[in-house]
Amino acid sequence: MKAIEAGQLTKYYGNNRGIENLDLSVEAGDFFGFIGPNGAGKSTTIRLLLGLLTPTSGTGTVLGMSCGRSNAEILKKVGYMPSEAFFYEGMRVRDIIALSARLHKKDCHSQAGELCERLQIDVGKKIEELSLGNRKKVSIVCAFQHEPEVYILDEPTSGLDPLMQMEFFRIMEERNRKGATIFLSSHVLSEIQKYCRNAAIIREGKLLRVSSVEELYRTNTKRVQITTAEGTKSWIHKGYMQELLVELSKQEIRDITITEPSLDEVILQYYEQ
Amino acid sequence: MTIFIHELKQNRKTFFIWAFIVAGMNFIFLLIYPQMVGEIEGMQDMYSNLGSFSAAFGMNKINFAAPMGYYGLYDGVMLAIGGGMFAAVIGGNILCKEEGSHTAEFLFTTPLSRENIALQKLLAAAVLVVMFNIICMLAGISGIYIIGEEIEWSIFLLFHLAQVCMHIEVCTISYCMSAHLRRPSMGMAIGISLLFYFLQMMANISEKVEWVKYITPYYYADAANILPRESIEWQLLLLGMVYACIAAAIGLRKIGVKDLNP
Repeated sequence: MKAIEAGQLTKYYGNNRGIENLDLSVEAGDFFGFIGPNGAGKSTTIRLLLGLLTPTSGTGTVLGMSCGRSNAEILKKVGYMPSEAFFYEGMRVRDIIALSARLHKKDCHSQAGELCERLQIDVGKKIEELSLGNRKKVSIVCAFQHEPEVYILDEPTSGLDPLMQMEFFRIMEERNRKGATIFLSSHVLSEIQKYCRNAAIIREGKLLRVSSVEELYRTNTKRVQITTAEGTKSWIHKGYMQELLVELSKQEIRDITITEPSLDEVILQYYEQ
Repeated sequence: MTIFIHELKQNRKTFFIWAFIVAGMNFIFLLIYPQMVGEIEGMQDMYSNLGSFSAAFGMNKINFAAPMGYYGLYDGVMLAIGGGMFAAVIGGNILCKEEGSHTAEFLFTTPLSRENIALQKLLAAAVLVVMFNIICMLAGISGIYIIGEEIEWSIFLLFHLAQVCMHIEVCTISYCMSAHLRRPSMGMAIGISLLFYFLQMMANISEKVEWVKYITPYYYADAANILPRESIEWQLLLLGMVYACIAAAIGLRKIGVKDLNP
């Protein structure tokens, strides 16, 4: 079954482009990355799936349920982390977590307790006293405590320190192993490379590519570094190896290193096109 | 009813501040009645013959030297202006504050329909308005008791019923505006309340614009229109409640379909 599907999903803000004719499919149980530069349409896509926005045209479904019409049913089974977490001032962390659990009509006491312990959250603090990273941790608990089937996460690790990022992904992997679908929007390409099985690249509202992360990584590109009399230079070569050899033959090379590019470098090419 | 209880808690500071101030002012006005009644009796004729000024505040229709007339005039102004502003602020912020404070992404991604959330918020606003009026009424009862006067219960309760209905109407109209806004606007809320108040004053002054009584809720809640006849203009009150229902329905519909941009 498809956990998430978008069919020609389009959103315009007046005359401004949000996303255009987006076709996307995420299998249930997948760990899916959603990559794109700022303003590409990642958050717009997520908000359309969650029913926060109404599409201009096209369709979106989550767990087979139509976005917009079945929002309440969808949201019972989705855990959402926005890129920036805001909560009600004057409330304490424990109150926000309890409010979220009551809204999901579930007793999440033990799950919330475990998550708070693992993420080292002080539940007695007031929301306005929390840093960005600590608010993010509260957002994680709110999204995870009811153990949804689908996790939709918008830049989840921004603001988290490296230790918490590791712990966060440990929790993600545990949930994924239990069968949950993870839909992760991120700028941090190393996270996509390390944890995601499949990924989509979006730019200027259009989907550029959807494939496995392995396929994205395995491209006809090489990182070339040469040392000549003038010094060292490095570049990404895309295309045929014969062309590279012709180019290299024109130079007086003292040393050469040819490696696979990182996923960052692969994706950045899509950003720069 | 999680959102309903949440909203009551979220608005408790605003509620207590406004209720304390308005009820407190009502109470104080009553406490000074014994000192003022002699002066008022002497000036009653003068104040009720100041032309448009008298008409605007209903001083040409009420015997404001009598306890109930004094209550209707002085405390009535506090309830009209202070209570109307409170109702407008509560109703005017209760929906749009979610986008304004960026909590819309938290609230509207929970498994409740938008209409459910909006309805619970509306009920919370209505309960706060009713509770506000109860506190003001208790302040009035206490004040009248302390100064040793008798409460004309039928008129007193009719007057306060009209105030509750007027506040509910202002609250729901502001709620409807709140559904269309993306940020709370104190100015808009207070502006609506004051606009309605001044429309009522115009209706009192000039017969040419008396038709505005069909628009402003302050007219049927005005002591000058209740106390002399010892009844409310029920058709105007019912019309006001129809406006309130329409405003609530429009607000609920709007929040159900609008794009929520956190």
